[in-house]
Amino acid sequence: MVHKIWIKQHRNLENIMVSVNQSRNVYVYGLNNQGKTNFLEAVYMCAFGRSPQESEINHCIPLDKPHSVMGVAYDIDGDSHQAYVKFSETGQKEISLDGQVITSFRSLQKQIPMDYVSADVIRLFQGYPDTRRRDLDQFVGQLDHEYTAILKRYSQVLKQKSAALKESINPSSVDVWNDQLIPLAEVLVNRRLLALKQLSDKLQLFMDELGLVEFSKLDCLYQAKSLGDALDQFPNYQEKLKQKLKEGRLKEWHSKQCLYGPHRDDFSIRFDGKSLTNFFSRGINRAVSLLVKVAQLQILSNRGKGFPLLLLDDALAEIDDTNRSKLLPFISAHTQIFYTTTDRSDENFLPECMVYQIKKGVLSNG
Amino acid sequence: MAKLPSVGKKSAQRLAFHFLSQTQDVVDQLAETMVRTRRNIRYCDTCFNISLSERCHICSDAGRDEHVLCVVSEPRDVFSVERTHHYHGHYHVLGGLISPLDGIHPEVLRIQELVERLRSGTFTEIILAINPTVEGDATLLYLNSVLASFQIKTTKLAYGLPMGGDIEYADELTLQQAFHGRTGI
Ligand SMILES: [Zn+2]
Repeated sequence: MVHKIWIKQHRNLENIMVSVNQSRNVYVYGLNNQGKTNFLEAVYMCAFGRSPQESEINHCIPLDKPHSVMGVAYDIDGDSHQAYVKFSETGQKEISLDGQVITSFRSLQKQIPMDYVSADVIRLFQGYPDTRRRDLDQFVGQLDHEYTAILKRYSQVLKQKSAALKESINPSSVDVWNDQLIPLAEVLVNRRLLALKQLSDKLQLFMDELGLVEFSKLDCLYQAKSLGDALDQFPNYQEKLKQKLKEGRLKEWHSKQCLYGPHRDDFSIRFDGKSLTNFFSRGINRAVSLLVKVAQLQILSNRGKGFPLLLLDDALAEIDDTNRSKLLPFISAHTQIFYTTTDRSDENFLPECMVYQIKKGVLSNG
Repeated sequence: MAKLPSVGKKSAQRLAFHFLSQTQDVVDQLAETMVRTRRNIRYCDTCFNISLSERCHICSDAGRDEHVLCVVSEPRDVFSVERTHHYHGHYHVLGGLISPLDGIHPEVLRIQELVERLRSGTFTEIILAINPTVEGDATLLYLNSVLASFQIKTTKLAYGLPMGGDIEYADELTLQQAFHGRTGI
């Protein structure tokens, strides 16, 4: 559990300290552009070493300053720890954990498992498949570091293959790429399936407990869209993909695009076989998206001893009061929450919180 | 100078200052060596390694095993393999790896020349010493299909290298082990 955060020279935050004290959660409210997102971004950077919005570290350091510094104090099993991170304008990152210099953020990510959720994430199931795929890839990659390397190699092969489709004179020139794609694709799909299984088990528990929807069985369905059907009908994935690539060879050749493989896949959530996106309200879709993030975070934090922390950046703005009043206490029972929003109206939904107001990058109590 | 490989703006500046501190003679000599090197150096007509004459020192060495051929991507890979002192056969340099992104298609590589050498040559074993990168594996797959028609034992190096590892950076011991542990394909 995190109990203190220091931030020095991060965007418009000059020098702030947030103390959780005897509470558990942190509630920061303020008008737009006062520094709410900057605050959560800095907390995220303590563990990940990068911004959740993929912006360059350089943009986070104020123009007239050489570096940003962040610190976090937390405990695991009653033992206190402290970590400091320094980002220099030269791109250098220095990390220290309990006074020792460490070289990678990996151990910090394990000790302080966290995730950042903005209002965009809430639209996970209303957006395009690539959003869900990216989210799933990121989750599986954190669960299983080998996955990231395999995915990278798969993407390299894919890039070469699409260049071959565009540049070569002969349709058979893609063979050397397809032969590499097929085994990599199978590994990716298998690991995604494993991760989705864990996710659906956890979500089933959450939805049962919350009672937002009447149902008995929830499942996360992996959709190998380019293979034309649900994956449970494909016991031998490699064979099926190989067959599809063979049949679709000319189609790929004419469209100059890589049409088949896990880079085209998707997943959906179903309650008793009814798809979340097609049969349920937007409110339920948003609530489930949020719960997916909580479930992922909990699965990730189960691997270490660290207590999960969820950074909610005005993320529930599009969820109505009734659902919000159910979701916030529920999530808070599973993770620590740093919550930002524009006013104090959600304060009562969030138990045990320290309340701060933010104005022009300065925090004040209450 | 910043256009030279692994020379950035800063190193280029340092080099410029270094030349300034030297006498004109020293710098003239260096420049002359560079010009001479470029003028005299060429590709070997047989194996396409870099050479000072039509046939490189390896191709013209009668002491080398004329039954074994090691296929590599670049001349620098020849140097890496030679450094192990564990290989005594001949070489064939492809001049790159298949990479459509860089406009390198199989037709650009010296694969036809390889086929010609195998047809007329005495080779009974081929060793494919190609980095297991995405492009390296594509080239291996392509070579396998081309070599399938020859009844020649073909092996590839069993790299103890990480995925995407590079022969150039492999230490000598790793490469030696790779040569001993090469696997049939
Ligand atoms: Zn030669």
